[in-house]
Amino acid sequence: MRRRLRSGISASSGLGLSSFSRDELDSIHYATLQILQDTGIKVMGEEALEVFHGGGARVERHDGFGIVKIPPYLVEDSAFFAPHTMVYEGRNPDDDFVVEPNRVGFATFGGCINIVDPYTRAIRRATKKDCGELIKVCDALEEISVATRSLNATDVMERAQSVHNLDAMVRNTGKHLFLGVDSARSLEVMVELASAAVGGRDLFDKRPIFSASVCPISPLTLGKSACEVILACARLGIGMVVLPMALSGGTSSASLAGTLVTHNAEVLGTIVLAQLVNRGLTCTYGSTSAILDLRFGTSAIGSPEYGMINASLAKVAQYYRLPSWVGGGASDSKEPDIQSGYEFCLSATLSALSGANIVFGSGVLEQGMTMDYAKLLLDAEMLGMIQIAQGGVAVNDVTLSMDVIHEVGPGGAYITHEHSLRSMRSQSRSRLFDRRSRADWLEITQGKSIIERAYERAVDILENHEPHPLPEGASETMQEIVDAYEEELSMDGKR
Amino acid sequence: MQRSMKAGKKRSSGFSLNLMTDDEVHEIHLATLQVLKNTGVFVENERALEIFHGAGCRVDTKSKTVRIPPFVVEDAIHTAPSTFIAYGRIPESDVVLEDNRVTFTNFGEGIMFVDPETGDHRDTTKKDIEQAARLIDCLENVETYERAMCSHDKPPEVQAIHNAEASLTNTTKHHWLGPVNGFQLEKIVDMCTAIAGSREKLRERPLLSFATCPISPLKLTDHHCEILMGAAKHGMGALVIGMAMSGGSSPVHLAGTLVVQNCEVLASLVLSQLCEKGSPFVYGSSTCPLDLRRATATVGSPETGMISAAVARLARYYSLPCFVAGG
Repeated sequence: MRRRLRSGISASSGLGLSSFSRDELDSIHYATLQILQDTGIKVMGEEALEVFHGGGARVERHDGFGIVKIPPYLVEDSAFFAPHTMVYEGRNPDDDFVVEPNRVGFATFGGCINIVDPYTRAIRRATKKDCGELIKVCDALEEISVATRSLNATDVMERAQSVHNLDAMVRNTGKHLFLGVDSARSLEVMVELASAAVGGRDLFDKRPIFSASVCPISPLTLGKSACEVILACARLGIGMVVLPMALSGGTSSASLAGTLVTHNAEVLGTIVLAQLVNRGLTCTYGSTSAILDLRFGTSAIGSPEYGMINASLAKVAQYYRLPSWVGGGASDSKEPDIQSGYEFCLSATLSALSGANIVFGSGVLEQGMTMDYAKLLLDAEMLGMIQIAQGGVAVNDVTLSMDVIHEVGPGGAYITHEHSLRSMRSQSRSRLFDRRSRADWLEITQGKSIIERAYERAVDILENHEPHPLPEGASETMQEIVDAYEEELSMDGKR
Repeated sequence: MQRSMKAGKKRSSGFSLNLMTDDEVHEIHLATLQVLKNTGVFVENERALEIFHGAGCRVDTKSKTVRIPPFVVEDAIHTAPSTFIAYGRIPESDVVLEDNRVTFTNFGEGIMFVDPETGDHRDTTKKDIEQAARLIDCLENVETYERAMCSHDKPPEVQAIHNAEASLTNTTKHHWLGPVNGFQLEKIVDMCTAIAGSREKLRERPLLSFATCPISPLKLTDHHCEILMGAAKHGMGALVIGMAMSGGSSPVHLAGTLVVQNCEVLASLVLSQLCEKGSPFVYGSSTCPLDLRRATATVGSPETGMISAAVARLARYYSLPCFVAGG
């Protein structure tokens, strides 16, 4: 049958989360402006206080800190100056991630101290080697868009940790890197190190391969070290993700809307500081805010509220047209088990459907303390499924399949129709998830649990995956930079 | 600080999905009307064929194909009630199903059972149903009860009656139960009458709805028709669950699958409304893809959730209560 082209009808491009009305987002925005203007933020860095003051904020001096009250125009200007679209560039250009409204990517959780050893399954402190190995697995996983420092190198000199982290990370992936920074001096060394990894400072300046994560302290505080790092990032032109972790009921209001407001004030206050120093600096709106479970005194990142807060903040970030980086997929369970699967799925789906640019939380257990390879591999597979769902149900002449339906008729078979064969690739596929019949499953896997198969897959990647190669001689130069910095720090310590 | 009242502004009442625009849902509706009119559905039951014929459908008695004109379909959509009250045995168990109101129920039916004591994987029995019904009775977030398993230890001809007995005696929640055929449906209605006290009282508060499935693609079997006609006769709800398998018994493309399933459910709706205008009807779906690599029905695939969400959207377009797979 002939079906001529229709004139345009309104079509959907997939599944999305509908949450706040425009009026409600306005309310959150105005409440935030009021808090920044009347309540202010506590700033513990002297230099940062000067910058705020020079930029037009009112600064009230106290002993060791200042309260900074920021006028609304300064907040709105700063949010506007920060770029609305960008690319998270990787060492391997094929891994560049384009950041635009509603484009969704995924990353692992950050800053864990423990790892479940994939060979012994013992839980232990993470080392520099683990930090690199985990990134190597992320490098191999297609669903993971950018690499975040999931494990801290706890076995190295503490003050040089962020340099060691970067060293371990950059060797193991071609993807853009996100990590915390210890100090302004560390950041300088990190730039030097990353420049070596890409073949020169000029190349790094053109395509900066890492961003810094900076964490305001809730409620409404910029600590001394955060101030130092923010200023250093701004001066060196290093993009940053501003990542508060408010705990609703603990460090922010027990009502979620109140938590959104103080969280928003913390992010925007930080962005003001950065934009005052370097107008146009890349600032990503981050969140790992959660609730404090008031019964157990723990941060419940497996709670539904975690997904709700983070999906909401992605919408708030979109309101300012800022790129967003929010939590989703974390778990409070101690093992990669059914609880971790359920918790992963709810918050990861909410955050992904909210259109957050990066949804981070894969691989993590135990309130964000412990990384687990099995969970990471299974999470990655589920992320692929979530992406399929994001695509939604396409409705058009091809997919409505009207001629096929008529041809097959009542009681006929589609499975033998060549249309089914042709369209087969549009179906979702499982890798570790098992879709076989019980008999086939038993025969092929011998009843081995999915967790075991996931660890095996991780070990296979660890032993066989080859990350994007470094330029010749870079590895040695990087080692020298790290050694020199350690020496510098120990000399400092003696002085 | 004084915060005086704001003039009314738009608020959201919570999170929901943006799924298909009105135009897209309308496309699916138009495609459905075309298939029902041009391709038609296979109807196996003689009386049902007569009923369709009497309403203005074109019936080919040889091939048992019924072609339903659009006005008949749209009439049936209008006469079916938009709010369905899932009455329990006691008023405390009553649940309102309408529009966006979301409730949960268990899966039905499992034919195998993981024994909680031995861990064995075995056939289900009537006793398992009793226990499952009792368990579901105390789960607060499971608002209604779908018969979870099957009495494999009873003769096949009367299994549905045993299923009903095991269920009705162990939970006060509204039942979704498959009677298999018209004969067992009548017996189950008798049981429900005994519980309610009289036919009139049962009609007032039907504590059970009959679940029934068309066969994809586009087939209304003899038993399916019997159940639809029986439920309408007794004023009990009909839950028609589309069970297409995308790629097996319906197109691989989900939009095409939605069309095929919509035809099956709406053709069932037409029959139910032709028997008794306004008889309670619930739009159901347990449709999932056939994994063409593994040849298994993949109820755990993302597509299952997408189809279910799309069906819920379609049912809302029709203002019909709906019952879809998820979990």
